[in-house]
Amino acid sequence: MSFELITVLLETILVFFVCHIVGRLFFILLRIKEKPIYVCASAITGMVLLSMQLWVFGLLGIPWNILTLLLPWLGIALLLHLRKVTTWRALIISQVSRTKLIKSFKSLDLFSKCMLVLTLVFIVSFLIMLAVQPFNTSDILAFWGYKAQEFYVHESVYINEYLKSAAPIAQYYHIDYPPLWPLMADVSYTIFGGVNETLFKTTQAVLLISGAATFLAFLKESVFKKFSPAIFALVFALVAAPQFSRMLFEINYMGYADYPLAILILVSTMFFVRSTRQFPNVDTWLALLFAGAVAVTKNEGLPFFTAVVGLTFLLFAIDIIKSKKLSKTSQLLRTGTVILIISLPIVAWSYFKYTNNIHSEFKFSNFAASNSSFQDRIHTIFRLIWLYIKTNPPYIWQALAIVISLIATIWIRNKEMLLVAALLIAQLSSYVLSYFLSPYDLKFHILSSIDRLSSHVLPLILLLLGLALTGPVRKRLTKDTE
Amino acid sequence: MKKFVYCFCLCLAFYCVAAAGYAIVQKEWLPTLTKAPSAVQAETGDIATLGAQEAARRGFDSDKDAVVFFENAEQINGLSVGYWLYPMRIRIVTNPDKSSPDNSALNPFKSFEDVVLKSKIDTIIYIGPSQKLNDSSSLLIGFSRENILTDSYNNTFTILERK
Repeated sequence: MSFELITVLLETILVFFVCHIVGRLFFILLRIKEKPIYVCASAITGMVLLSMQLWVFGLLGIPWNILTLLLPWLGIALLLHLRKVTTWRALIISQVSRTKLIKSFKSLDLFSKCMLVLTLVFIVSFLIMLAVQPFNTSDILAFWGYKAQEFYVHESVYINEYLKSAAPIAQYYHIDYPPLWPLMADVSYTIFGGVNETLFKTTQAVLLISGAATFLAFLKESVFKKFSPAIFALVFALVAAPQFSRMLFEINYMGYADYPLAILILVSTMFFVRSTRQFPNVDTWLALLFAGAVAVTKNEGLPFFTAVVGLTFLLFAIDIIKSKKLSKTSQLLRTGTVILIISLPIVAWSYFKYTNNIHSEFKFSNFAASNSSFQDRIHTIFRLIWLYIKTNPPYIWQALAIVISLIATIWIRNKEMLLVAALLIAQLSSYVLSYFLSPYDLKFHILSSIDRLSSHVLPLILLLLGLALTGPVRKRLTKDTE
Repeated sequence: MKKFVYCFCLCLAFYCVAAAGYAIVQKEWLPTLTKAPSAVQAETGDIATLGAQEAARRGFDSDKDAVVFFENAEQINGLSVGYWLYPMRIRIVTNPDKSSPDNSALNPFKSFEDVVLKSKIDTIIYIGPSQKLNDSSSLLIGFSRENILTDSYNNTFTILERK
């Protein structure tokens, strides 16, 4: 292993650590009790928060450097320390990670241990591969990598004048893609004071590690009383499913923004599921925060955000209908405010696109121009999807998993599973709709994009399978949050 | 139902192990773990990619600098150089005869001579046939020339800076 590689790995670990501390501080500020799921989700939360912070700094003209980035959080940490809310030691090593988890892991059966070891091997391999393999396609460079560099050089979310001056070309080069993922790379650039595209790639691993750990913690506390082989099978599948392990084996496609998107969708959904027992609570807000992050990571995240917001209001409506009075007015107002705040970056990005004359390429006129009937177009879309599935073994499994998880949802019919299924169906429907309104030849469009789109929803399917194993989230969770 | 889902999850895990094992053997993957980190693909001879890298590394300023691509170097992995360099603050000048419509929108100059004679550009990265550069040597008085690489197609990667 080269010295250079070791340096990159250490730098990535440092970025993970910084994000973890920021996430922990955020949870303490929200007065969330320390639980494994929050400890595990700290890094991904910190990454989202720091990226958003850079975005705001850009708007306010605050320079991007390690001091401006971390000083606010150091101030918060100092304040919490002085007020004896937490200690430096507790921030770095949580009580949860020190005791309960280690004891639980010792009592694992052989299958679970094997799955756990394999999961760790895969994650370490991902990290190394992301570091050593170069960007090899135009997409990652043109859409994402150079944007991160542009933002960092200008210390703001900035798109150069050439792109803005040539709107149709800009559309072709996807400057309409939202900025959160490049901003995540900028967090690393800001911490180390320079552009390092290797760190840009390893940002994915930070999200994957935190996301997989959060999934493990969620399954353990929400679905199973003890660690079960099924938990480790599902977590391993999240990391090593052929759709995800392409990060290891296919250097032409190492995830792009699709893996961060998939992980953010998973984390948002887990918090949403968690929030249903004592709706609304802080988990609802976290679910909305991550759904907002999904919407500014890729355009495919917008339907997800809309679905989460829609389901949030639906849960309020069910509550009102059941109680026949508006019993949660203050919570409704508070949640509405959270939604408004989280919507700001989405609105800002939409406004940027509007002012730069960048419009969606998915229009009804494309369907009209295709000279095919509604039925014919839908038939063509599903025929091509089926063609892809039946000729690619990993997608046969995924299709089977979708069918089984949806049958299980209908069979069990609990609120949590119905919510996840609703999000899964909403996301899949939005993809079918995008194909329906696509300006491209359907064969080209579907066969060249379905692998990426299906990776977005794969974690939701695994989550649904996990929930199917024991049914509703137990009531013992309800006192986790204030 | 639960037992069925449980079995499916375990089967899924076994399938993932088998698929990964197959991929490791099939793609001769393990040796890649011993490589050094790298950011952008830059195989020997892929001079245009190197040019893109170098321009990025130097943080070019669109008001002062330009990258000139000619002929063989016009495409990187089958895509126009504009595709790769769009998000950068770089003036891209390609061979007018061969430039794609995409590039023409960004191409304020008609030729290499135009860039050298009419512009106030301080730094030029020239990527193209060495013969063309040699033919233009009379134009390049007042420029320092830093020849970085020549590839097997006789393309040069040269940085020209006004003295």
